[in-house]
Amino acid sequence: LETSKAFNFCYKTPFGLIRMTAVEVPFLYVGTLISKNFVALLEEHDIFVPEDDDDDD
Amino acid sequence: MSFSVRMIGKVGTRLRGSLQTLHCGFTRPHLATFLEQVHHRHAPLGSRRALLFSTLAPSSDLSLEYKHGRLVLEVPLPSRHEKCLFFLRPMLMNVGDLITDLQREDSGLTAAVLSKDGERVANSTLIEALLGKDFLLVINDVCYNVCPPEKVFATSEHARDIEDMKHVVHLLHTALHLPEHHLLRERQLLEKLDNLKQELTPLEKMKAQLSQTAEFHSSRVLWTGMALLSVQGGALAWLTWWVYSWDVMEPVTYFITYGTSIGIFAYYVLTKQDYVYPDAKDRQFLHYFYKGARKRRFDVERYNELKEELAEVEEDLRRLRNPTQLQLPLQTDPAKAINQT
Repeated sequence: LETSKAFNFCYKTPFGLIRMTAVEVPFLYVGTLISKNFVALLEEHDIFVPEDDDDDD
Repeated sequence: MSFSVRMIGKVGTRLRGSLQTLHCGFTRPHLATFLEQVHHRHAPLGSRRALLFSTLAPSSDLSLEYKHGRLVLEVPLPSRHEKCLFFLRPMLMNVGDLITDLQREDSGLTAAVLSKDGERVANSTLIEALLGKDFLLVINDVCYNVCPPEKVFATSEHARDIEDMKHVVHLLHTALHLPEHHLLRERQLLEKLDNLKQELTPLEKMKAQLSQTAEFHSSRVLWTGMALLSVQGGALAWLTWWVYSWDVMEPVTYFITYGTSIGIFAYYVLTKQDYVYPDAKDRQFLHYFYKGARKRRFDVERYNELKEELAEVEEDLRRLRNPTQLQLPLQTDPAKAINQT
C-alpha cells in the first residue's frame, strides 16, 4: 500500500558541528606544536636555518 | 525395320503432342485416336489420367519461398515467356483466388492446382492448407512441382487429440482443487517462516552487536582522518606564516600533495577499489565486522543462507496472497487483506 509520506533520507550526525569543531581546533593546535618542535630540531642540528637561507638577495 | 518404324511413331507422337498447344482445337480428334493407338501399343511414359498427353514435360520446381516475411511464388507465364512473382497471403487467399490472379496476369493461361497424388484441389481451399506438403501447379498443361518452404509462422491450431483432452482434464482438476491447495501451501509457508525466524533470532542479535561495534570502529577511523587533516593544516600554516615563508614551504606542500595522490593510487592497486569515501568506509566496516565475527565465532555463511531463505518464503507468501491469485475482490485496506486467509 502506498502512502505519500515525505521521508527524510539525509543522515545527520547528532551534535555534528560541535563534534567537528571539537576535533578540528585541538588538532590544529597539535599541528602547530609539532611544527614548532620540528623547526627547533632542524635548527639544533643545523640542517636548515631560515636566516642563513635568506642571504641571497 | 520395325524398330525404326516404332521410333518414328514415338517421335511423331511427341511432336504432335507439343504441337497441340499451338493448334488447340481442330486437330484434336485425329490426334486423340492416334494417341490412343499409341497408348495401346507402347507402355505409357508416366501418363496421368487428368491429362491428354502420354508423356509429361519434366516437372520442374517452382520456387515458393519467404522474401522479407511474405510468401512469394515465382511462376513462368507461358504466353509472355517470363517469370512473374505472385505474393501470396496464406491465411486470406484460397486456391481460386490464386488461379484468378494467374489468369488476370496472363489471359491465355489455364491453371489448376493438384495434390502430390494428382488429385485436384478445390478452389475454396486456403493456401495455408496447401503449404503443409508439396503440391503441383499445372499451367497450360505444363506441370510444375512446388515445394513450400519451412513454416515460419505456424498457427496454434492443431488436430484435436489426446493432448487436448489431457489439458482439459488438467484445467478441471485445477479449478476444483485450487483453493484447498492454496490454503495448504500457505500453511506450509507460514510454518517454514516460523522455523526460519526462530533460528534467526539469536543470530540477528549477535549480528546487531557486531554491526554496532564495527560501525563504531569505522566511524573512529573517519574521525581520525579528520584529525590528521587538521594536524597537517595546522603544521603547514604555522611553518608558512610564522617560521619560514611561502617560498620555502611551497615545494614542501607540493610534495605532500603528490605523496597523497601516490597513496590513493596505491589504495586502488591494493584493494582494486576506487578511493571514494562511502566505499572506503564500507570496506573498513566489513573488515571490522568480519574480524569481530571471527572472534565471537559468528557463522556469517549460515546467517546469509537463512536470510535468503526467509526472503524467498516471504516472496512466495506475498505472491500467494496476491488478490488475483486468491480470486478475491481487491482490498484497499491492508489490515483486512492480512486477516483474510
